[in-house]
Amino acid sequence: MARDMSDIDILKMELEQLKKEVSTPREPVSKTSKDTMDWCEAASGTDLLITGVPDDKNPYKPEKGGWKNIMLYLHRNTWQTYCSYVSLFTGLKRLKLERKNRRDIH
Amino acid sequence: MRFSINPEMATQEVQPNETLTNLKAESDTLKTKLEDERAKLHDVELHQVAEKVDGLGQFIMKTRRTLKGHGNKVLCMDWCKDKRRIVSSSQDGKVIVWDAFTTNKEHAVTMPCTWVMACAYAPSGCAVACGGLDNKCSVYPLSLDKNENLAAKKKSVAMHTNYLSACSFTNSDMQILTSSGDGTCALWDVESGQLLQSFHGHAADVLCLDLAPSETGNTFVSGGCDKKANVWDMRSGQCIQSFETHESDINSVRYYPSGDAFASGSDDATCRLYDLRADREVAIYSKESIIFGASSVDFSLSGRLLFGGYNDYTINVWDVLKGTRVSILFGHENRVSTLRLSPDGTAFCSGSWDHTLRVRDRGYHLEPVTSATVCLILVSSSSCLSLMPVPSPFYFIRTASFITFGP
Repeated sequence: MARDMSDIDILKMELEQLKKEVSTPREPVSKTSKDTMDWCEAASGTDLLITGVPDDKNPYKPEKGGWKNIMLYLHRNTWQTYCSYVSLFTGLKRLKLERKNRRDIH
Repeated sequence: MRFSINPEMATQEVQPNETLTNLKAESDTLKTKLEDERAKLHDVELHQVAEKVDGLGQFIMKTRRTLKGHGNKVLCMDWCKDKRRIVSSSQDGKVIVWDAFTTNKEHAVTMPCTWVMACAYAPSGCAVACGGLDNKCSVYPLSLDKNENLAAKKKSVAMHTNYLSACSFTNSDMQILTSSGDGTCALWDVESGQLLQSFHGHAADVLCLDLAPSETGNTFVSGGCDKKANVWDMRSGQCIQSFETHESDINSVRYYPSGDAFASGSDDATCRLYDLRADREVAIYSKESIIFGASSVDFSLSGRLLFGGYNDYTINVWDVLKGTRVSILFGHENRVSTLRLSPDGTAFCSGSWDHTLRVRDRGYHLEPVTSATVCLILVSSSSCLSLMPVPSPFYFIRTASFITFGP
């Protein structure tokens, strides 16, 4: 046990270990880093913390309601929101024209 | 005569000192030789290799569950392989098994000692192992009957001469690996309680250990108060590699998911990544603003993210390849003592000295471009609305139908 060993014994143990380690086979960092990076990229598709989990499959799904969730829902359906705003805009424009026509008729 | 010096005694006193200095000198020369060998292959930095990798962008994590129930500091936690259950241990001797989805407590065991610093879930999900100041590792089989007294079926497996700092089941329920304050790690057989292999090599308390991820892997890494992280071969009991670049105690070690590297968190406020094939440290995750030690580290499933729980009550999320910090997570009111990713990688749980555990997962992240577009649309539509004259109800219905069904 390390606490019971004297300083000499600890040093001897370290020395033996160092002698073994000096001769271990090593590869260059450029190769191993590239392998690590490739592995990481390959696995990133399955990493749910990076890709995110859709709400219906997420067991920790946040609760419904609340203005924050409404904003998130709106943002998520940006194209739909955009279309609805565009339609609102065109609808209002048509409204304006029709009111104008009505006024002109009257 | 009283003042005569015994010549034999004199030579005996001189010899140990000489050998001590000789040993130290030899050890220093070997260390420099080892450093030179390692430096020869250090041709590039990891973040240079990773320059062409896409950045991660804004990263938000939300706390989905807060597990409250411990009466004192939470010291250790572990997930069950069913990705749902969590076992956690605390300073007051309580070990609680939670259901993370519902936050219910399923089992609670009171250990006879305080400071239960280690706990682990068996791969089958049928038992938990825990230990601490009692110098032992006890295995409790979990039964479905909630009224049954779990303490009665306790089995003492490991016996150390100092506190148990970490324990982990190997690939089966039958063997357990422990590390202790007496400077050793040991592999035990659960059924018989017999010591199968012991690992000597640390010069001070061993604080943490982690098993290699592969099924056939027979190595594990341990970190200790002697600032060293050692990689061991479980069958032979030999230390294969040793890394000593930290400046203080190593509190936590974790293997990279591929098994070719490992990360360590230390009291010197840095987390470092060591590559096993290159046999050197390849990245340091630190910032000048972080001055408190890292108590626990874990990787995400792909190894792109490194979560570090620190003693300044925060969790820092690091981009492993680029070496930058991606996010800081707040929420705990005392130091974060333990942190583990769930087995399927959807969430991670952090335990803290504020008596709670928090389960967090990915919040929805807002990309700057689309949020700007939304703002623009809202502003433009609100400006149109202000110009609009008051319509009659008929036209309101028409516009409402446009909104719901699109153009």
